[in-house]
Amino acid sequence: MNASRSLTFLTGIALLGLGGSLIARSLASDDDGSGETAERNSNASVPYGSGTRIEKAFTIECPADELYAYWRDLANLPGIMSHLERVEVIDDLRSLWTAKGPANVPVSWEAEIIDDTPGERIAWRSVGGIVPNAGSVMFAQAPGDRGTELHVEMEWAPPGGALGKSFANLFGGDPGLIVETDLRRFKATMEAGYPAINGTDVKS
Amino acid sequence: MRAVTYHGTGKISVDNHPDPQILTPYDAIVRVTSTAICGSDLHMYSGYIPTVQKGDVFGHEFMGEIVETGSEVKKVAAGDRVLVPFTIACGNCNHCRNGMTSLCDNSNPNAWMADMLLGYTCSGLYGYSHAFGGYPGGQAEYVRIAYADANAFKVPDDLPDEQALFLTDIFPTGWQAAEQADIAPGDTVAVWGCGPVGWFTIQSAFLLGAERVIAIDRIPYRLERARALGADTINFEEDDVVETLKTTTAGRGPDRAIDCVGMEAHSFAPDNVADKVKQTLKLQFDRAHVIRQAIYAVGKGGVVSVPGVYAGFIDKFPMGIVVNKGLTIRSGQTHVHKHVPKLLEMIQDGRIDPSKVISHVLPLESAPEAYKMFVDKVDNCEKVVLKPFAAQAA
Repeated sequence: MNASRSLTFLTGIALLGLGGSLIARSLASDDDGSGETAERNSNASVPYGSGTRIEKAFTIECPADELYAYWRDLANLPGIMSHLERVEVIDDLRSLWTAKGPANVPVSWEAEIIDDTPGERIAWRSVGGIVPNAGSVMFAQAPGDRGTELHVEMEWAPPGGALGKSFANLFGGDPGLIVETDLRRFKATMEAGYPAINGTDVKS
Repeated sequence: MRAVTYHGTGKISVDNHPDPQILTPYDAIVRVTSTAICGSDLHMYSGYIPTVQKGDVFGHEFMGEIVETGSEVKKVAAGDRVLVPFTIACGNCNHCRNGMTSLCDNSNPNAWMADMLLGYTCSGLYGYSHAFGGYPGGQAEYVRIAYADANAFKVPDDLPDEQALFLTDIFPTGWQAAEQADIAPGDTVAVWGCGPVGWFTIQSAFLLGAERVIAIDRIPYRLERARALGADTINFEEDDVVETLKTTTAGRGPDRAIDCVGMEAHSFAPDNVADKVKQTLKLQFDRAHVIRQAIYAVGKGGVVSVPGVYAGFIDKFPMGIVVNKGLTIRSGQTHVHKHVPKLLEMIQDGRIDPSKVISHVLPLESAPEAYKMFVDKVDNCEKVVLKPFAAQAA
């Protein structure tokens, strides 16, 4: 983590905050001298260090390729992430995301995929929009015969303006706990067919 | 439907609830023919388990007939007579695949609560607090079963409920307690607590080759039942447990020590009186006199096995004894699923008769009196089986 963070600084760029480990690494390795990396970084969705950042990881008894395929079809993401209403795929890299906003007013933004390594990693970031955000998911073989490690990072910047405060709380409640619960349900769905519910305090 | 419902410390009643519904394609609904009160229900009844809420339905030892299944249930069907382990398994996570079903990753809908209490969640349990799943329990006419294919075990037609019922919890719990103590032929095994789990633990210890079992309790009828199984006994209100164990083993100490008591130890020893005060003030969940005494009394190089339920933190844990005597401590909620086939076979072979643990068979409606009787240990109450449909059967 520290090494990749300093790498981020060494490249002389205020990277996307999400940049932390995964994105920073992928951008650095993608830099072929064409200047594309610098261009991407200058378009960073979330200025480095300014956003709210969440990292969660689960180990899932499922091959990495299957998990990757599920996530790569971005239209599946609302089935995983409870704050999303829908994701409409525009083309291979671009998509339109709609989240449940404060007071039930939906919030939409366009996102682009900035890293796509089949079976290993997908990263995305918003392009414009009121809530700059970025995210990545990494799939790695767990040690022994324990399935696939799923590492998810998400980051978003609090927007300015009048709506700022309510959007800062876009998720409602504790965003870390919400993402964790979402991923736990995803794990249960992949392993056991359905997330656990009890009909009392967890009804669906 | 009618169900045993919690209304605060020491208060339960049998109330009307909506019938359970199929909520996922992997569910089944069981019409309960027999359900038992467990000693661990008394921990909830007495208010010592966190996240138990008013209105919760108790009960995790139950069996009955499947009346409905979800569309993805393949291995059982309506009409099947089944028993249901108290620990809920998804059947497919890494822990379930390796037989550690009480550590299932997926079956606790309130995993975040258990994460906070334990670091990582364990399996959901029926009728045993919201941190352990918030599932309505089986002291009821009907129960919804989660992940039915992994959790409903068919019962042979010729095996009566009274023989099969305790495979849901206390027989496997006693068996696992003895098995994880690594009992070898010739061993002397000390068992604290001669309640139903202790009763099964004593027999399991003998079945696993123990030469001698020494059972410890304070209630005369329980000690009598232990002696009937071939155990020697110590009444801890009459004799010094540590001294007696040392003398009777000629200075070796018991090779294995098993704590079938858990968090509500009874004793007037100073450590337990202090524990009781802290537990009452909610400064500490558990009264830990037995585990401390077991660690002190067990012989060098011994194993201390803990099937008794503890909920949280204990003070004055004698770590120095564990280190210097080279002890091993083994514990865990019971991986019931792993044990059921083997123990079912032992029942069918006549090597053990679980029905003999039963002291009372009562209608479900008698639950409030039955809980009180079990807590107060009156009328030689050892194990109560409740019959939700007793009226129709009679």
